Formats: sequence, structure tokens, C-alpha cells
Amino acid sequence: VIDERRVFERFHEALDAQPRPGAYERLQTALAANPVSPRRLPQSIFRRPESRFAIAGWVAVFLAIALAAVFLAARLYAPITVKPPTVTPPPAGGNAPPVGTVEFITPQHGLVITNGSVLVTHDGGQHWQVSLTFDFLAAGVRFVDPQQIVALTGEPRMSELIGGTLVLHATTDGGAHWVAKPIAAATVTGMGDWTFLSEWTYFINAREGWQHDEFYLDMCDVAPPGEHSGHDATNVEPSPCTTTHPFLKAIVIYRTTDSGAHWTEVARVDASHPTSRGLQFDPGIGSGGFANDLVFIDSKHGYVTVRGSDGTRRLYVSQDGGSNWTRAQLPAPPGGWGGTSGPDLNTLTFFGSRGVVEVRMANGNRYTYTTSDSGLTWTNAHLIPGDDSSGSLAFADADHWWLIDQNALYESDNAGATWRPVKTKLPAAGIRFTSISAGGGILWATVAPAAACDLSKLADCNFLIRSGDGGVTWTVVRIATA
Amino acid sequence: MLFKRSDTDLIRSAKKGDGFAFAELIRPEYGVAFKVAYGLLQNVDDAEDAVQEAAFKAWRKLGNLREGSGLRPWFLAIVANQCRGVRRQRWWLTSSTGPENTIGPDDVAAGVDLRRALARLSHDQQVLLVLRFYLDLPYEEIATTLGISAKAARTRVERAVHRLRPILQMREALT
Repeated sequence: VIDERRVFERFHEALDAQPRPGAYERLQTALAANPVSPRRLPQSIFRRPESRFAIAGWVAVFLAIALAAVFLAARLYAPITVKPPTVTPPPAGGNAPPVGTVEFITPQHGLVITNGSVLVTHDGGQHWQVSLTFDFLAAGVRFVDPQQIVALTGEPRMSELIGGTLVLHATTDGGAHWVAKPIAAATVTGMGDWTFLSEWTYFINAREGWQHDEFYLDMCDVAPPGEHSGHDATNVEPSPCTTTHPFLKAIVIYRTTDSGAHWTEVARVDASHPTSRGLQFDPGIGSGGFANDLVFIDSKHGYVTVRGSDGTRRLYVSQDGGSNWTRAQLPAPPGGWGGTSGPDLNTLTFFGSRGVVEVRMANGNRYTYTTSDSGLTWTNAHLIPGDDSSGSLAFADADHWWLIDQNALYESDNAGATWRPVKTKLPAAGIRFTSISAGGGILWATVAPAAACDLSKLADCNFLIRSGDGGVTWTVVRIATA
Repeated sequence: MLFKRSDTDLIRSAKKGDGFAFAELIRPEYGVAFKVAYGLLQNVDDAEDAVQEAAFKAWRKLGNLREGSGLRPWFLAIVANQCRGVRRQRWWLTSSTGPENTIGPDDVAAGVDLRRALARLSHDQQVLLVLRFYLDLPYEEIATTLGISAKAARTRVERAVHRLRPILQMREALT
């Protein structure tokens, strides 16, 4: 395990350089001196700084300083407006912890995640129990059923560390008792016992899980043209470089059935096996293309989203535990996929054979696709309303959905084809939704101030609310733990 | 009257061939772009040249900049690609840096060991490490620059650091 702060220090010590005085001004002069259209610019019109640019460079420096002084003076004497505080949150009560996210699997069984603990309830939120504490929550806590919950945690300060050990926590009695097991990393060539990131690890219960990884042993790009094999100082096997696939890259999927103690490679696609097991190799993986998410909903049905280096998004479906995959029919959203900076696929959720996937476009638009054949084919995109590109979706079932957007709430009863705004009345002014869960007809949400909050009073800043009338009215839920 | 032109206005002018407008547009990014180039090339002259070449390429490709996309990640990606080309042209420099076991305590103190080890990594890995640990960028911004996901960025950074582990630990042993 390496302390990330030390790496920052080493890099700043080793790489300490500034451009020479006037470097930017020389570039500015060169750019400004070229009157032609950029389309017709020569490939190389400016190399080393030359003396004829020096005078113009210093003039430009003088002008820049004068401009900056005027700008600063204008800022100093500009009137300053101070907005009055608008947050008037109600008291959350007792020793209530600040609530991050909420999930209810039934009207009775739910959990909230706070800063350092998981609290569960089995009576519809009347009583709460601190069920699990953690220093670093590596992945979301997930209900398998009302009694089974799984969570991935990491060691203290793991967010600041390079490497470290992940721990799988599982309970089969509703959170009264937990079993913790460290997760071994799947074997990766040349990487030894290096631990995987939690986001690439997905457990559906206390035993069964999957990891996906992408190799990119691209050590060839410093070799001279025409020669083969790269060299690396860390004993990774030399990789042949070809003109077709200059880098050896692969997507590999592993599976465990013993709580992460051992992993078995179940699928791999690379340059040598470009169409292995239904997966399609993309030579651009690592240079714009990558495997994005892996989700399994049971022992057999799994989904991998891939961003192709050509900008397309692919969704692969497995119906045999990850051994074989089928590329889903996923039409492009309005405006197309839009290259490598285009949308990502999110929120893969299934209800039996029916499911939904969300597409977030780079321009902020969001669409949902639906499927009724376990993800093999997907319908055309439906636009999600709202201005908040990070607003969450919640699903009561395959047809009834909810959407939060700052302090607004939307409802759809036809799987996202149309939405209607809900005339919602939050229990305090100046707050916004942060998460929502629709478990069994009851809406649960966490809220936080829309403006900055007094960090010394976190418990008053983030709290849990509940609605039994479809989001019209809300009541604050007191999470008073014994 | 002095005023600051908006980025939209500068982009519009630059697309029409106004070089000064494009220079103004990338002014806030120049220092960061230089650091990327220096981190990858480890030579001030080469870094300045690479940024200059990248600036002209960016100007020519300004039409590719998507509306609403940030200029910085787009420009840094062009700078990084320019550096890749420079490194390919001078591949022999990488292979002539000598074996690592010739590094002495003074070299470690001066960061020579880290620079040399960095130069031995692949271009993609160097870019990741420079963006993360020299420019102090968050993973989300690295992801935007490289066109990958934030978690992919973090995984790749961790892998790249793992390859530097002997170098990082050598320093700890000497101090």
C-alpha cells in the first residue's frame, strides 16, 4: 500500500520546471501574426523562440500586466452582493446522524448510509439500528432480500491510498450479525497481488461475485517503427506490437463463488481472440474505449457496458453467469453517440425480463431505454425531464418511476414514456433532494440544503423524509438510535 | 474601454482565423499545458515546442470542440498526443537512459530515479501519472481529458503507480 500523498510529493520534487519567461507571449505573437484561416495553416510555423519575437513578446507582457491591473482594480471596487441564508431545516432530532442515501426494499425493510455507518430498519422507519460501521465504504450497500445485505468496505484512508484490501461484508439476519471476508484480487499478469478497485467488483450475495478488468500492456509506443516488442522495467512479459493492434489490450471477466477468496476467468476478449464468447474486441480499448460497468442481477443474468473507441456504446448480455455474451440491440440516442466524450450508460435496473438503462449525454440530456426481453433489444430513447443532470431515478416497478431534480419531483406510470411533475411540498425551505427510493408504495428520500451548510451541524443538513401520498407531502423521519 | 471577451466570443473569432483570439482562449491553460508537456518530455525546450505545436493543431481543430465541453481537457489531450509524437521521434533517448541500478542516493534525492522510471512507462501511463500527481487533477477531470471513465482513470493510475513502486520505496529506504 502506497500513501498517495507521498506520490504527490515525489512528483512535485522530481518535476519542477517552469516555462521560460515570455514563452506564452511568444506563442501569442506567433498565433496572432498568422492571418490565414486555421484550415490552411501550415503544419509547422513556429518552432524555437526567435529574436524577432522577443520585442513583441515583451510588449505583450507589458500589455498583459496592464490589462490584469485594470481588471483587478475593477474587481476590487465592484459592489459585492451577499445573499441571505435561506436554509431553515427542521430539527432531525436526538443524535441523528447526517444521512447520505436511502434504500428500501419493502415498505418495512430499509437502510440509510451515513458518514461511517449503515443503519437498518425493519418496521418502516420507526426504529433504527446501527448495523455496520466502516472507515471507507468502497461500494454501495445492497439488499439481496429483506434479510440478506452485502457491502464492500476498504481500510481506513483507502481513498488516499494506492492499493489496499477490500472486505466483503454479508449478513443473513437483516443486519444483526455480519461476516467479513477480505477479497483476493483476480490474477492479473504482472500485477501480483494488486487489489482491484471496488467499482469493478460486483457481488449479488455473500458468495457470488464478478470482477471485470481491462489490460492495456501498451509498452510498444517507445519502440522504433518497424521493430517489435516493448521493454518494461517491472518484469511484465514483452508484448508483440503489430500495426493492426499496436497495443495488446483485453477485457477480462472473472467470477467467484466463494466470497472472493478465489476467482476464475470466465470470459476474455483481446486481439488474439477478437470475438471470443460473443464479446467483440475493440483495438481502441485503453485509448478511448473501455469496459464501463458490470452488473449481475442473479447467478445467470449479467450486463457489461462498453464504450467503443469509435464513440459507440455497446451493451453485452450474458445468460449463463458471464461465460458467453450477446451484444444487445441498442439504438443511438438523438444526436448520436458523439465520440469518446459522449454519453455513458447508467442505472441498469431489471424487474424480471423488463429493464431500464439510462443514457447521459455530454450536453446534459438524459434518456431512458427499456427492454422486455432481458436486455437483448432496447426501445427508442425517451427524454428524461429536469435540469439536474445528476438527479436520481427510482423505480417502484417496471412501469412506475420517480425522478428527483433539485427540489422538484416527477412521476411516470408508463416506463418513462411520459412524465408529469408532482406538486411536492418539502418539509423545509431551501432544501433539495439528494436520493430517492420507492419501496412498496412508500417514497423515501434524503434531502440537503440547496446552499452551503454549517458543517458543524451536519445532522441538520442532511436528513431523511418520507411520503405516503406519492410525493405530495413529506414528513421528516427521526433517526434516533438507541 | 477594457473588457474581457467571453470564451464563446473568442471561439467564434478564433474559428474565423483570429489568432490573437485563440491565444487569449488558451492563455489560462498555457501553464498547465506546459506542465503536461514537461512531465512527459522532461525538457523545457521540448515542452515549449510541444505546446506550441499543439496550440496550432488545436486552432485548426477548433471546430471539433463540442459545444459545452471544457477547453482545458480538450487542449490537454492534444498536448499529450503531441508529446506522444515527439517521444516516438526520439525513442532512442528512452532506451539510452541506462539501467536503474546505476542510480545513486544523490540521484534519488534529485528525483532522477523517478523521472527515469517515468520515462520507461508507456505513454498512456505517463499521461495518467502526470495529470494526477504533477497537475493534481481529480480523477473526473483526468477521465474527461482521456475520454475514459473516472473509475477507469483511477484503476489505471493505481496500476501505473504500482509499476513505480520500487522507485517510490527506494526513496523511503534511503531517508
